[in-house]
Amino acid sequence: MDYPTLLVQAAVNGLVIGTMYMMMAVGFTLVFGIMRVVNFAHGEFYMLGAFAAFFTYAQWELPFVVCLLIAAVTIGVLGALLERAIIQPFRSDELSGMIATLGLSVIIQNAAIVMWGPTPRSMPNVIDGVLTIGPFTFPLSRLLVIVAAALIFAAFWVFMQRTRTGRAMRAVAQDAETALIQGIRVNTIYPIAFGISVALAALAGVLMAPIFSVSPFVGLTPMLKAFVVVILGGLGSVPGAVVGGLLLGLIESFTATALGSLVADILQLLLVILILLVRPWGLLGQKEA
Amino acid sequence: MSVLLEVDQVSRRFGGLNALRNVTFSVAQGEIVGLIGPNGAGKTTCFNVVSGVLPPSAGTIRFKGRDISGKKPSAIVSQGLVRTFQATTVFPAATVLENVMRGAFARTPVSLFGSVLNTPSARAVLGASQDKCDRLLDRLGLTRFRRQAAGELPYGYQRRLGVAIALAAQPQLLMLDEPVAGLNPEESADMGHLIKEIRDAENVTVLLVEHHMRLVMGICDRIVVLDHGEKIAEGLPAEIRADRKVIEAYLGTEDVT
Amino acid sequence: MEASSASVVAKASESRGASGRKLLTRVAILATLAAALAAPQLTTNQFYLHIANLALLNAIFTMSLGLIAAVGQLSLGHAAFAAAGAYISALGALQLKIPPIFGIAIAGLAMGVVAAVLGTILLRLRGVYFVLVTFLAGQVCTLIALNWESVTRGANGLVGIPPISIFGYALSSRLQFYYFALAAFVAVFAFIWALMRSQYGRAFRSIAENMQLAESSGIDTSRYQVVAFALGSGIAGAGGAAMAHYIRYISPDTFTFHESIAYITMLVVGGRQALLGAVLGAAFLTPLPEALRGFVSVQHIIYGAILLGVLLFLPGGLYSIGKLFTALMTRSEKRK
Repeated sequence: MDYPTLLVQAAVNGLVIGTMYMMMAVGFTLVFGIMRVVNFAHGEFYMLGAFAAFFTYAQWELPFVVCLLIAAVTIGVLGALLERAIIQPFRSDELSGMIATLGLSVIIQNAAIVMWGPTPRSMPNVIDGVLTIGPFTFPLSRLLVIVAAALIFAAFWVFMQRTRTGRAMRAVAQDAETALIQGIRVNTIYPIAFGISVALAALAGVLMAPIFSVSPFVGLTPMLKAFVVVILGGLGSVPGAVVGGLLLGLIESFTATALGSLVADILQLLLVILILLVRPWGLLGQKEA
Repeated sequence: MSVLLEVDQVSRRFGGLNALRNVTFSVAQGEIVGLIGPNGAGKTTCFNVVSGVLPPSAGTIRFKGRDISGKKPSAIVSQGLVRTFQATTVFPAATVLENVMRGAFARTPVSLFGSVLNTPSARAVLGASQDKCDRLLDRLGLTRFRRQAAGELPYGYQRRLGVAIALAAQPQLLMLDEPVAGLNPEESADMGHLIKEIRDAENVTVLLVEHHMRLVMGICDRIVVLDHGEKIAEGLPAEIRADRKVIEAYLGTEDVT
Repeated sequence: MEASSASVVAKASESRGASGRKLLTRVAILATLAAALAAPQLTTNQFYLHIANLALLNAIFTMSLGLIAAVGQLSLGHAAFAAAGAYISALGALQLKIPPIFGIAIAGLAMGVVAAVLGTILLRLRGVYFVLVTFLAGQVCTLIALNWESVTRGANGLVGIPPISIFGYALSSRLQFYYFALAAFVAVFAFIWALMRSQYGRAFRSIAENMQLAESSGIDTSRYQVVAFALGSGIAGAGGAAMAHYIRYISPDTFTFHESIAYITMLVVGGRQALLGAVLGAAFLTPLPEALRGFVSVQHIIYGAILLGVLLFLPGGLYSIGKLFTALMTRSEKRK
């Protein structure tokens, strides 16, 4: 294959992966920025989204948009309930909260194994066919992911900037004490924020289901990447998660194409170490005292 | 009287915000100096920069002639500069005695290795340290709480314990961060006496941040006034009380009695 | 004057009570040791011996994790240090004919040094970053173990690892390894006990309770955090090596993220105490999968549920049940 085609292919794949990383990272960093919670079960919600897609799309053959909605709503509500039951009791004890989310991840993953079995399943593409522009061909299934992710993120952005709940969440993230004084009810904000966070993860799972397979074990890698992205972009920074996610996806795609996926993985981890040494608060994070 | 602490053109920026700008003052041995100013003036930031909790963005801090700017708090403590905190004053789960033993950590000349092996000499040194801490508790009237968890003490006694912990580190300069915040008038008066006693009996120089004007005017030899990160006045209590700029800075916020 | 003489009297009666308790504790320890030494002679059941060996090793992993937790840190890569130690000792024995007993020591030392370097870099960061990076470091280890096939044989693992031999006497049976594991357990227990009772322990506890105040009391917090992390991870490395020479086989699957979670679970369920809590947790949770002979996944769900249950409803863990018990006992004795 000639270089331009290779480059363009790598770029498209990079954007596809990048949007998934972005969605995982935004959810993860949102919960940390607002609630100071590190959710080690974040990857399992991605996995639940993938299974939701499998059942609603592959088995019940519902329209894809409906599948997205069902996944987001059911898993979002589940997240909100879990926040009340498991995250809330540890609001003053960060360490115990982290360990609790670890326990949660173990339960969710193994429950999936028990209910659905460990064998990976494949999901058909949502759209077949290609789009040809000049000498380049883009698979429509890949473009769909990019477009869908962009739309989802746009909706998220509007929610955060324009709605009262969204603004309240941003206020809490900036300065919890002042937000409380202003009468913002933390007990309502936190479950909603958590629900949105895991809904984003679930949507990422839905979008990626046709590309990667669906199994109870698919949650670990996306969560790992989310960690890398938030370290790069800055813990608590949503813009950092967006930029970091897309950047990581592109870097990964290009290095994998050029040097193989193993080198790509190692390079990423080296990048993390470098950032931690030189600029630990990330590209766009806040330098805290 | 030799100069103990020199704060020299110290600035501290947070992003675009200038919390401190070219602050300069000094503290001489044997003085009790008060650092005052309206809310947000930068007093706590100044304390944090001097004690090593934050590095300065510019300027130098010298203690006993040596540059301590940007050094770690634990390194500064061993030189003789110790501070208390306004909020987290004690180790809540440990006993009162253990709290003070921890304060004395840097001044306990026991070999770490020896303490692991629990050699007789290590035991002797730790025993001597415990006696010292007991005497300190006695002087501060905390002996009856010796075996109680520090977190269970009434607030007033917790603040006293905070001072005890700091004194256990054998400071030459003691920095007190709002020592009477949250105390009733009787407790505040007691604290004032205690601070004076510490200076007189132990020869410990004191630098304190406070809002409680009566205390400041009552026990301080000299006062430094900050406003919006800059020093606006410095002098004897009587001078400060009459200073125009100081009164204006406080107008509407604090009663300068 | 009166106050000081009152405190002298109080201290005298305190020390009388304390020496009584000391005697009781010493008797209890000797009794437990005697039981531990004698017990395996009473049964030939290899299965029980195996469980006991695993429990002793798990206790070592959990106690060393407890040491790291004693400064208020959480390491999600603890199993990775065990894995690296295991591979180092196994490869040393297989490729370089290094006697396993030295291999274990080398593994422990090497992991301690690695942890010291890593800790110095990482502990400058906020606590949360530290946890995230230990997780990533663990994943790096698994990655290396899987892909560096020329050295680690990848997913196939290393087979035929020689057993530990002491003065030419090979510890090839489960019973023989039991006594080694027991000795190692006692050594680690005694070491951590002495450490926590010393000035190091005083520094650790200060940092865990109020880091800012500890630092301002002259305790170099980053130094002691690195010490705890290095010692804890080093012990885990040695423990991993011991495991390799016991099971005689390791693969990337032996020590994964799941094991890291398991050690955390044992510590929390036991009661977060670096010593007794760790031992209780390991003792309770190691046999559990065997007692619940069923699907592996159901076992894991129960593990996770127990962890959450303890966190939510019994934060002091099994240790707190023990404390409650002794408190009730002493109260009823006082009434007599």
